[in-house]
Amino acid sequence: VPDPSTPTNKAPLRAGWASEIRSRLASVRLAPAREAEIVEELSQHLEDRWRELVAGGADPDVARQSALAEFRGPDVLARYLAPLRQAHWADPARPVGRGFVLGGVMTDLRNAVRALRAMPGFTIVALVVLTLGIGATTAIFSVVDAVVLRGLPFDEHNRLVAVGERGSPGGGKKRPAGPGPAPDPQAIGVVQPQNYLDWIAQQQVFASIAAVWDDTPTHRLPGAEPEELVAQRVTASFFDVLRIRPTIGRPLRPTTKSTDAIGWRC
Amino acid sequence: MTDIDVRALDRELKRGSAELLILSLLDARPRHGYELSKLIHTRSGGQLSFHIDSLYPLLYRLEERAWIQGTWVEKPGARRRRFYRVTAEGRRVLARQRKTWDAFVEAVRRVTGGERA
Repeated sequence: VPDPSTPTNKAPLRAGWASEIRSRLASVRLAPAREAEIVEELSQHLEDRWRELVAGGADPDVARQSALAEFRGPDVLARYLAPLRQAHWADPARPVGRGFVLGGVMTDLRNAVRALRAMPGFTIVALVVLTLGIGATTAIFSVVDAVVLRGLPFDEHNRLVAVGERGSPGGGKKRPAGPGPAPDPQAIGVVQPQNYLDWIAQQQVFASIAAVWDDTPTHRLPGAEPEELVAQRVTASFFDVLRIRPTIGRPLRPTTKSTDAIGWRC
Repeated sequence: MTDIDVRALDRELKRGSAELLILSLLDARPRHGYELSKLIHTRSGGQLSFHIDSLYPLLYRLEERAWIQGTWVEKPGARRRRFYRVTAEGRRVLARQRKTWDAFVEAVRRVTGGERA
């Protein structure tokens, strides 16, 4: 049998087999090392067939064509290889593009779902912890946002100041009897009306001052049940200090009757 | 049975019988792809033959299923060859397939032989 690697006997070179096989593997995504193995293995097969035909008296060129006729078509090998796992090799050195990144994300998601399904106990505990954590964080942030991050809903709210009287240490009002927390010694207390009037007359710091007094009057319409209201008694300058207008009625003036302005809601 | 069913059965028979042929030949001893091809052709009296573009994908599929294992074997003065041998899992599959095939052949023989009896 002539040596196919010897060019003098018209035998096909091994490189010839390899190129024929590689052209049929072009559309298959094989790892380079795996492709080299397949090319080597199939080259040997074709060479064995060629040797057998030549040993049987066939012309080397005819034998070459007969050996290659073992391939039924240019794409049959690729079609038969396509369902195999090894035919879907992902090149780690491939440039990262958008589709490639999303493909990786989808693969990670699928793997994560499989892993979570395999451990239902862990999954349930993790979901409960996550739910409680997110809920607690949301609640705390809502309070911080309302109290710290957002300002009061008034014009130039950062210029609003609460002013009051603070009793001297040990000399203030006695704590009322009964249960409940002790009053905060640093909290500002009630201002006596005369002091408030003196502040208005003598202060040179504020643009305007208003006094506020929490009240809970009881309201009762004829024939209806009495209803307790959440209200505040304010001085006439209240709306000017906050730069707001009442929802119903007119802003208070020093001469306004107490019922002319009946409400404002934040 | 519809035409589609016949085609599906034919495909499954071919696929199943091809796996059975390969596993049976490798059950005796490790062989390389060309030897498998020759044996199937000669032992079947030329009735059965594998093309190169279906034989090797079949071997690789069986290898991915871990029914057979391919190993490169190097001998002095010769090019290395890839030999395949049956794994333990492959032998279990082969036993099942032989049983199924025998039952199928027996069933067909009963049906087709009944008219002649």
